[in-house]
Amino acid sequence: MTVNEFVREYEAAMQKIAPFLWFTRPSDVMVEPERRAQEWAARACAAKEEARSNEWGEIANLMLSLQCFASCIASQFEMYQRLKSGQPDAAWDALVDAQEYIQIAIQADDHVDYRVHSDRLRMAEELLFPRPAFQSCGIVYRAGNCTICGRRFDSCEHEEGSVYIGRLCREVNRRDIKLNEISLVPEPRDKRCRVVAWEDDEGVYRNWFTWEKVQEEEAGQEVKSSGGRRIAGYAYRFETLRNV
Amino acid sequence: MNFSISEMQERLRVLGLKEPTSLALLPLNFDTASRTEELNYAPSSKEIENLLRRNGTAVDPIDSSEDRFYIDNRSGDLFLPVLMFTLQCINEHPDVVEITLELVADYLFAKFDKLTDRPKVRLRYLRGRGDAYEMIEYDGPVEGLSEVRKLKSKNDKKKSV
Repeated sequence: MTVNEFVREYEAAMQKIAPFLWFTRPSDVMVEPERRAQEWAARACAAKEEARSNEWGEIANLMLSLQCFASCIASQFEMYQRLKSGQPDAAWDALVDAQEYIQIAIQADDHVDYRVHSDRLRMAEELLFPRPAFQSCGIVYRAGNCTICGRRFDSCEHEEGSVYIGRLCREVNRRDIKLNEISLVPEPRDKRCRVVAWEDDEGVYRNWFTWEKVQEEEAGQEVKSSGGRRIAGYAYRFETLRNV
Repeated sequence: MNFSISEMQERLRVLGLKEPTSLALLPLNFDTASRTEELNYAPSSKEIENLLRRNGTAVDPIDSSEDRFYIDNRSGDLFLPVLMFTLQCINEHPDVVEITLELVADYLFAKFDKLTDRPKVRLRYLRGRGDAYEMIEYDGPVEGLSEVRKLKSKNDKKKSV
């Protein structure tokens, strides 16, 4: 199969999936198109690896973008399904996965359709979820390794977040990591890091998204007695994106 | 934050750092660290060093450590290293500040061009003025960096933009 044939088949498949990508569709109707999106992500990933092994840079980048777009669609289906089944926290994570996949697709092969889809995801974020209080942690560390060349990250030429022959450059295996601080920030690096429960003005401990009361714990009384207000959340999350 | 030259030399001595002769990248906690082992560099230091070297501006290493510590705040903002331009460097290359900031601005534009979220930039650099060093700070959208470049021609104005 040629690259053009692959892309044509991919686009035809995505067009068949698109009508199901609406929140109004029943959850059970979304299962099959989600599976097909995952299947296409896997096919594009395999094609990407073949292109990488032949050092066909442009094709590898194109395949990475197709893989990430299909993964984005699958994550979007998951977000809708989680919302419909009353799991907004998991739905949020799926939304962030979708946003990160589309960001990598743009990085690999910038395309206007990807940008339009990215805008839609941002609108979904604003319409479907109350804006979270985001968190970030400051860490002090020694350089890890580059995912592109394997060398120590502070001694190579690759730029984090850029795509090289179908692969996203990242720094992995950082050494001597020390936690420096945890902050509430308006714009986090990772939107999965957020407050998930907090104590409101009346002292009721609530889930941020559902506003439901969260079971009191003994530790909460200690915080109250010292005049504080409890929050619970994620300061750091491990990466969830696959094969990028 | 301003340093006199003697204060700067004292900081370098206390921290066990070499006095630079040209453009140097300072650790982010240069003004608060009490010893070499506490120095934390911006993760973007590597990319800025590579960028400047590729464009013919060598960075003078002030830290002999080959295994530095970095600090990653994991917020959405990108923090650049503190750039230090020595008087000697500016005297020998009068355009070095402007050229460097143009390179950095182009680097940021390229980096942020594909981001779907609105980028925000915080920039600090040290500039020699007479017998003192002046800290120029910028915190805002990437588009505002062009205003920072204009500061070079406004030598008498000592303020942030």
